[in-house]
Amino acid sequence: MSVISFIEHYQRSIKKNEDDESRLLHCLEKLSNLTVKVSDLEATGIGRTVNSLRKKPGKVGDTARGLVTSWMKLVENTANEDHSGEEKETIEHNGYAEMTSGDKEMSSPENCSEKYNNGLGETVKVKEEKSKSRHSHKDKKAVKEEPGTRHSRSDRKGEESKGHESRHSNHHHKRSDSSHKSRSKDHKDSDSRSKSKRSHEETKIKTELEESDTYDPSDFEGLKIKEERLSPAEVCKYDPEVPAKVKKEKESSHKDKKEKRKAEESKSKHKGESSSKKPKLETERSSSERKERHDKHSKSSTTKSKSSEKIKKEVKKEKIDSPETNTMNGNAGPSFEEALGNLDSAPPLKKSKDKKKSKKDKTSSSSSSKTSSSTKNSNSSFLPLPLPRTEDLASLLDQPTLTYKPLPSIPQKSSKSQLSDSNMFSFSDVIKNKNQRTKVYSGTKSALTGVPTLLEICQKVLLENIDAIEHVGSAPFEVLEPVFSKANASQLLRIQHHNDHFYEELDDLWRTLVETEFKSAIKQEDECWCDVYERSMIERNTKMSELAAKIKANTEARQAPQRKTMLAFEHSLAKPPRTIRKQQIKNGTANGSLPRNVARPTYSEPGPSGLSSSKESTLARTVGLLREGPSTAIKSKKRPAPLMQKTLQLMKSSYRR
Amino acid sequence: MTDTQPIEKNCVGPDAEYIKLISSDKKEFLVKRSLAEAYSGTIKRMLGGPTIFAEGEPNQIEFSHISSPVLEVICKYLEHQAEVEVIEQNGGEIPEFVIPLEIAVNVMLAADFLEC
Repeated sequence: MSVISFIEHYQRSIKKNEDDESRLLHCLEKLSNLTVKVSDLEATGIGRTVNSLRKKPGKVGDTARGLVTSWMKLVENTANEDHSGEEKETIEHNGYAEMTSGDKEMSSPENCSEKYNNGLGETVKVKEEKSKSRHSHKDKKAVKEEPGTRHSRSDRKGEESKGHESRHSNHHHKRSDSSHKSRSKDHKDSDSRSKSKRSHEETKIKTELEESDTYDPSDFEGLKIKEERLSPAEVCKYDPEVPAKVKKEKESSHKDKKEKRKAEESKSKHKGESSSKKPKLETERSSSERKERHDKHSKSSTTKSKSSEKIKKEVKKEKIDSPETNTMNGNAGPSFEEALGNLDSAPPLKKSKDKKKSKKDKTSSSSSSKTSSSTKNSNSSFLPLPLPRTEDLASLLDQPTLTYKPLPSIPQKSSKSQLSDSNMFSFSDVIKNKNQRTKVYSGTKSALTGVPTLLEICQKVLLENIDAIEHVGSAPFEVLEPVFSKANASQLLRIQHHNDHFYEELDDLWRTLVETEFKSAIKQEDECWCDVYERSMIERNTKMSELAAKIKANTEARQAPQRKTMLAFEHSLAKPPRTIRKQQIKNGTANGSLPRNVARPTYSEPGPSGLSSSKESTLARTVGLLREGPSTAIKSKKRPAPLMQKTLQLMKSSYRR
Repeated sequence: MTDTQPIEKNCVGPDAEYIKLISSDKKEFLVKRSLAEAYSGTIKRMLGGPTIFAEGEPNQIEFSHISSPVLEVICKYLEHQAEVEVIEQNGGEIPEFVIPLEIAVNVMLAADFLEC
């Protein structure tokens, strides 16, 4: 165990002198020179420590990275050798998780995880493809893998956020440190939680590793295997039945078995370790394993897109079905598959969060986003994903899905159309069009039913210009009938005037006109309909005029008399006011003479015209009074008004009394 | 209107590509035989009837009651029909065929006669 002690010593020194570059370099070199075993790495958790140094600038970072990768390779190799490597991996995974929780960036763990290839052919290939794909962006499989991992990562992240202990959460990568830290805290709370978190971290690490460009084929292999192994361990709870259902056309059938075994082993190991702290390498390895598994699965799934789709659907279903299997079980076999499934689901989610890279990323992200949505649902429900599902998802994600089927959308149109078909003017029609954007047609509205013939075109032209029709010539009436039928009386009259040869035919048209306009008209014997029309027209007009005159008279009579200026006493003697009249009677000048305006010598000087005129008018008045003298004399005794008479009598009587 | 001599030659014989329509005022209009037969029933019957043109004789139809402006409009209409068919296939908007008002009646008569 001296190696461990050395490791711990260096670990301490690293932690103490984080800022001292030379010291860190020294420690790292020493560590690299040490022949460490996987168990040592796990026990000391040095992996985590070194991982934290990866991000350091300069030589320190490089050395740390190299060290991490070499350690991950080591873990892979050991994992390949024996099945118990699963446990180690799980432990590593846990340790990884812890490490990552402490670290901000998980790039190094990912690299390490990539290295952890378990020698499974497929995983290796997948990884290689992955690397190739990343660089070439042409490898479909690689694309699939990436999305798969991302998916798993994303899944893990989501789960972690919710604190799920499900596999999904395990596989979710949370890049945020806080999440990691929180997860790490949760880990301490319970084994399962810790496991899940570790898986998260591991996946995170893996994703980080993936993103980094330091890919080695061997790394991929190790990563894949470890991923698969880890997933079951992480999830802790896998129904034996679930994987059985899910497992379908997995090409990696043998792989699954291996994974199962590994998962079992890892699980057991995982359970055994209660301490939250795990060696860094372990976590790295586990993450890489997860990655690898995922990649493997994704690869296998990509090979059969259709199958994967089916599986995906099934996976979804299963995910939804088993939301409660989150407790840590000893069933590593099914759980492994589920874990793989989780892995697959996680990457899509992650993928959505991941960026650029290549088309694969884009395609994967697009597909992953879709799958992630489904997986998210499943993740939230703590469903241990069966392997086939995840694989399908991963495969779907990785591969630019040629046969992608979008999420089932509500067939609104079809249903509505069906409804409309059944009922011509149904309520549905109205409602259907209510919210739909009504089509806007620009341009002239021409209800063209087919192409019009020349004849029709001509008729249309003539219809528009009936007034211009004069002599038709030798045109047959049948051709012109549609045009004439639309003519009104005046037009028809004009046409008739020009085309007497149409007399009979036009008469029919007259008839229709008469019937439409004068419903009560009666055709007399020697009348043609044209004459009937004329006659009835005239009658109508006369009626109208009579009525108009009557109304006019009525209105005039009712009208309030307007203020008019009229000359008074034009032809009669001017009537003087009463007082003056009395005087006249008294003086005997009641009957005035005629006015003398005409021939009167103008005695008054031409002064102001108003004065002279007023004098003359008074003179005229007096003359008038004089003229009317005798008559006025008779009338001189004026009787007061009746009421006045009464009052006077009363007064007299009262006075007398 | 067609332009060159070679097309004139095509009127010769029963399998000519073009046919000649002659108006009342002796104006000659050359139209594609396929078009004319497709869109004018009368012309189709004329060309396919018992009086098949002998070899060496140009395929021509004389319309003694149709003046040249009217016949011109008719020829343009045949072209228009062909264009419309193409447009209909491609799903475009059919342009309107305009007829001058002065000769609209005569065109209508001719159209009635030619069944187009």
